[in-house]
Amino acid sequence: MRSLFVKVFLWFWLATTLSGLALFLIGLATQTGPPAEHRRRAVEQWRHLAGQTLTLYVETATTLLEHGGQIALHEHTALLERTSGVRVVLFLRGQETVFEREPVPEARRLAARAARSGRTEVVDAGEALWLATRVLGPGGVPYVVAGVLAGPRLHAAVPPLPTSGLWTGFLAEFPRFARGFTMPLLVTFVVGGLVCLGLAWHLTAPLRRLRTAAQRLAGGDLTSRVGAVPAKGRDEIAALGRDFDLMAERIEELMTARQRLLRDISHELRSPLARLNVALELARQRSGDEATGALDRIGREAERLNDLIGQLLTLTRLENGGDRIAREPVSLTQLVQAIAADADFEAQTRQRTVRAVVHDDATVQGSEEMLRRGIENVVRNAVRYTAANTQVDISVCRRRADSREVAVIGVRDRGPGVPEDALSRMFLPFYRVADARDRQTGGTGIGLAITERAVRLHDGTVTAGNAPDGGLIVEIVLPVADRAAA
Amino acid sequence: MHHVLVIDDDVDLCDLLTDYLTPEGLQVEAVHEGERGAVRALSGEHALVVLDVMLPGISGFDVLRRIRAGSNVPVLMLTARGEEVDRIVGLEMGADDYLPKPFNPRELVARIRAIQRRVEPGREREPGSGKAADTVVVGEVQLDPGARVVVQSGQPIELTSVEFALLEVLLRGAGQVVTREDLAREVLGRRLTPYDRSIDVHISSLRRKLGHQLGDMERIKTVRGTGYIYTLPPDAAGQEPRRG
Repeated sequence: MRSLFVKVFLWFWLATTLSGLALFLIGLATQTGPPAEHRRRAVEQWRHLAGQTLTLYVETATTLLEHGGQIALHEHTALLERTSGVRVVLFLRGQETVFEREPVPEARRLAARAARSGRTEVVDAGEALWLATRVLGPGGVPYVVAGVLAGPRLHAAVPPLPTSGLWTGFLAEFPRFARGFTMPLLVTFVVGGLVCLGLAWHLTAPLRRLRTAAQRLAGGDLTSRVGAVPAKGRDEIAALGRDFDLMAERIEELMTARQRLLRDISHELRSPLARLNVALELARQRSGDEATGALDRIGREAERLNDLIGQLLTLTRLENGGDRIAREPVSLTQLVQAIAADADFEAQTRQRTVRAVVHDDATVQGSEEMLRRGIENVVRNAVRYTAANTQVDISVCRRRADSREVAVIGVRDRGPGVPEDALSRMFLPFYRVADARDRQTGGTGIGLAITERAVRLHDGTVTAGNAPDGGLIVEIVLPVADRAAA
Repeated sequence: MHHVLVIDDDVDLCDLLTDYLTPEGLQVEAVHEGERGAVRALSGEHALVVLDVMLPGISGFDVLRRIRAGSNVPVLMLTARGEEVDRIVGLEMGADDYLPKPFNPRELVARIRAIQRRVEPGREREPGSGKAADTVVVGEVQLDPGARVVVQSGQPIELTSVEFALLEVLLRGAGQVVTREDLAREVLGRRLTPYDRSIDVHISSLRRKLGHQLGDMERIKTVRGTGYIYTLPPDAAGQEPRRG
């Protein structure tokens, strides 16, 4: 399961559905277990008694009909109805035999059923209870009598009546019970689901905010905060949000202080360096040839210090002022070719070559100067480490990644590569893979950090990996600005 | 002896510069604060001003603004390395050129020499011609390299030395593309580094001072990625710039 939201939602939903199911099972057990069995026996008993009573009534009724006629039967029936509350209808061969009353269709249907089956039929119509039984009258004439027990007396007289069936017990009751329970269960499922959805959303919303803020912070936006919504809240998540904001504030302060320090130091170093440069030239003028070597050395070291300070300032500026960078279309094709030409010119003097291979044209939106610095630093690094008489390859191609079009600039050298565990740290300022070698080759240790910052300011990424056949491959991925395919 | 005014708060650096520049035939006057620097620069005693933009109190830009309000003396700005914005601002405010600090003093001398060459009247522009360059007239603009005067429709136009030199090169090549590299070499006396906007900033100052339009055409056209063309007026089209 991917997100907390889905997890919370599914677990809550499962819980509601399961409790619904538990209710169903409890109901099933109480209504179909031993108590239900007991009730069913009582009903059977009652049915038997009722059948006998109706039989007795029929005997009396037929006798009265033979001797006293319709009127006697009528009076007897009326008396019975008054005293017992049971309304009876006597059928002879399917027809109401007696009484000037309106016909009752239910009674007639039930009577027909009883006439066919020969046993006592019962229908529980909710508000009323219908009974019909077949009785053989004098001379073997088959009568059917139907009775209806209705109104408040019903519940006093009998417990609720299940329909008769061939099965008994738990299994027999299950389908009827399940049918009755389907609707409530479905409602529980749907309504419970909706409530759980809302609950899960509500619970995870602050976490999502927190996550977005944390991602922005990790992405370099030091002003990222969770914000005001949980400020009122008193729950753990709101407290976490406030703590996050405090943490972010502290980080921002520290980062700002670090950058200011770096910047101030670099600025302060300029003045002595400027004096050193002038003093050096004065020394050159006034000293003899034997000092030239040493003075040249001083000049080179001063120049290196100068480069270092310049790069440090570039880095701090990139880290502070990302929002101020120019956004103009930059042709990566032209840029990479220009960089390759310059780098090749420099590399030739050291018996190395640099070649650019452009597979696709790509234009990105951004600052050409910063992109140039970023790419140039990677290329310089490659030229520095590639073996003598080898070639550094720069490639440009387009690719689709995460549903957006990106340009990939690959820089590959043929040098010793970089240990796997150092690959991700290469882009940190002053990170050195191997001290001794770096000092020899004269890197400042900031070039790749500048690359990383410059690329990140253009919403891109830079990664490094070792080629299977030796050498380092650095890939700069930038979102392209032009929609038209190359 | 050329008088150079150095405005920089770093006293030690000024001393060293004095030591270094004097044998080069440059007489250095050092001033360590902006207010006095501006006053001295306006005295008219100096051939060139070297101005550090990072000054305590009144900033180098303010000093530059005061100087430009009253003088076209060439100004070489010392900018902080890595602060490209400072350069653009300085050039827009009328500085002739800039040098990132810390600098190599040989580079400083080269820049000073380049500015001097521009300012010195009667210099030979065309090798072999053996005499001072002639006055150039293109349309209503008349440029006299000897007197260092530019007259547009009878009105004198105030130009800094670098703008003057730039206009001269453009007018001599009117109707043709002059590359940015050529302009940098001839006017600034140096090669352009990548993203060096110096020439473009000076061109935009020229446009502002001479007017953007020449009739219904653009006076100085940008040829993207290459350079600039000074548009020949319609009546002079197809002709060489007239020399007088």
